[in-house]
Amino acid sequence: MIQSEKIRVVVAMSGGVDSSVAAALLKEQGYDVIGVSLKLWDYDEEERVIQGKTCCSLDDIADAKSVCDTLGIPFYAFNHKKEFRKQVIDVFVDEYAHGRTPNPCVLCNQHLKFDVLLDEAKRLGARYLATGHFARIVHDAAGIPALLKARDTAKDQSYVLFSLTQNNLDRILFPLGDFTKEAVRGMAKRFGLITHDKTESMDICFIPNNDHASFIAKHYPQAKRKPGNFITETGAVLGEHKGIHAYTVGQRRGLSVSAGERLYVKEIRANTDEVVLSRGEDLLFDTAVARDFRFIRSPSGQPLGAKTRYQRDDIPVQIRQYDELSGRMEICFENPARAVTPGQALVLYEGDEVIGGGWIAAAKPVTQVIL
Amino acid sequence: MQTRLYFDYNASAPLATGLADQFKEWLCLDPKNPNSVHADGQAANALLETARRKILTTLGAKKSDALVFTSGGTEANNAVMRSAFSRRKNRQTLIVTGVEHSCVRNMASQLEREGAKLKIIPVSRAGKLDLQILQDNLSDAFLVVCMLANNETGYVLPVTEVATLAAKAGVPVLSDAVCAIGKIPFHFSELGIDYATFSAHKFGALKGIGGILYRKVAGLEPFILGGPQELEKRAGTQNLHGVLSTEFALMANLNGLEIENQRQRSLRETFKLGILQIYPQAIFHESLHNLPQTLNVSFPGLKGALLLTNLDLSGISASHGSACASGALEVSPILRHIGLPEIEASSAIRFSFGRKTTTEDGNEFLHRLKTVIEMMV
Repeated sequence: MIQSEKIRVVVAMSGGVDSSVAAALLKEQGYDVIGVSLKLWDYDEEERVIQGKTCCSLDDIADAKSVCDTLGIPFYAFNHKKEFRKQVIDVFVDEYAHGRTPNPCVLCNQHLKFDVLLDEAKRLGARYLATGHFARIVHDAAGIPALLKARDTAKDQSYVLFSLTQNNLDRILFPLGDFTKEAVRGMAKRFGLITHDKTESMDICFIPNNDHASFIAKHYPQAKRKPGNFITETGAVLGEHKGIHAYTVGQRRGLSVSAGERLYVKEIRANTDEVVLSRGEDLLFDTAVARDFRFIRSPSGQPLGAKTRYQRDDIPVQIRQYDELSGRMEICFENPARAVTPGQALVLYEGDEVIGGGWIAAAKPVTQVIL
Repeated sequence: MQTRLYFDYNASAPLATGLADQFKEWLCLDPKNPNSVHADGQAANALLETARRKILTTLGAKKSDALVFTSGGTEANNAVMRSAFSRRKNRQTLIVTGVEHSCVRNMASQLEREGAKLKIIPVSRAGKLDLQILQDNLSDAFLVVCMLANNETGYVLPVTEVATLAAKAGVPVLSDAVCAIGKIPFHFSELGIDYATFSAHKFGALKGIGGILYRKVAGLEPFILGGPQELEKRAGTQNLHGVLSTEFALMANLNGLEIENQRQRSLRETFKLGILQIYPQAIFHESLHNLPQTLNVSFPGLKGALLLTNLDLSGISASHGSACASGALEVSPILRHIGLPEIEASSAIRFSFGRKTTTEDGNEFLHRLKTVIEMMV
């Protein structure tokens, strides 16, 4: 190892096609590549069989290993179940128990991939940690790195990377940032990787059936909230619900309330255990407050765009107030925005560049004016 | 490419010197089914039974003892435990030490689910057994399982003492000798135990062969049903090449074993001193009676899995904790059992070496270890 002149890179391998190709490209570019998978969660045998493959399941780790064998690079699986449970799942459950809608992928990136694994990569003598994320890192003339959207904006994943600092970015490679997904699959085939036709998992990896309420009931029974009332915007009781942990703002399915028309969750009131249902077509917001907001770099005064959910178009916004010490950020949307959900990330962009992000704490709906 | 240094003998030892060449001969000999009655079969059977007798004698067995070949240590331990359970009559308790291999632990849990009462004899950090707990539970026990040498720490357990106590209460004793046979002197009848199990690749034979050495009077229930092979205990055509390799490797290992043990002890001391120079906080896990070729050491402040990875990348094979099906490592339940705090258990690395480890290997090992640790701190 130490004798090697090549620059060492640790590639975080999920067992999917993207990280497989990332590893293959780096190998081709002459890096000393080491594949690493994180063992984060123990899946039930039953869940594995019914739901098929999900990130970091046994099959996925086997796929990652097989890709590394094909590429002729070393592979290791590291056990981080304890950290994952504490930093991702506990927080995920706690957010639902407080009526918010968490984004565990962001937490996993932030705490597992770009904190624990980045540090481990360093201790393995690696100059860089690479992942298969669709995003780009570019350096200016002074060598300062910036985080940009992927060239293929339809696949862009920069939203889940907002917590990276310039120091982090200096040690990270995103080899897929300039490619389309189609090109990546083509390369996987050309490299002879068994993951080339693997289907993509869009679900939360530890909840392959997307039923977070059952997950909480099974693994965190103590976090289950007591049943409460479904109410209308004016406070009329529509029926009883299963407990606020089971609902998400914007949810339409599984409400089991018959009101003769389609209803959706407009608001979750944790302090009164009430879930407000609305029949309106769209819920619009004009301001949002985020907590723990951090800038990767200061705004330059150019127009700002925001994402409030994964894979949505940027919405033009303006900063109303920002307190650096507390990280409290208040923004207003230039045009009313849809479903701005507490618990999700708020990420600010200048053009293609991510300049910072934080967690949505509250959003103020547009006051409905009845003419 | 730098040469690899192999420090994981307790996982699998390199093939015994000369075995590869000898093996070619056996392959060319092309022995047939030892159970056939024709001349070809009889010739194969002669090879098998000669090897069996030689192994029995070498391991200190008497005429009243028998040897049944198995696929390895796991099958052997499983079979003896199941057999004792099915012959338990009115006794309900299974006694096992707290540092047994997973093939004993998991079988013990299974028998517990099937109605046995499970009693664990605690083992201390110093490798001492709580014999009082053993004595208190013997009257209802149908089997005591006490390994001879622990694979992770190298603790040599007081099997004779356990056997003496158990014999007074009429309880049979199984000793998992997987990590002892071929490494330290072993004499079955002197140990006073009823069953001993081994796995031959641990001392330089092929993988997929092991055995149960037992006192016939203690009995053994058939555990694979079919033909009459292996005293009608384990049906199926024998792994003849495996058996031949077992005999060969055993002889190679026992030849001059005491001198080899002395050499290993001094090599082990060199490693300890060298490691302390590189990492003064290092803590060694050892008992008064320890295998001379196993060195389990914690590097508090470092992550064991990372250290192991770095060692591998620098060409050193060693081991840490226990691997789950994915290959991700978990903290060893054995180290937890003997009471190591998390910081020690999670940073423990096992170096195990043997016949082929030279002093030069040792120096090179320490040199690389130093480079790796300097990079990590």
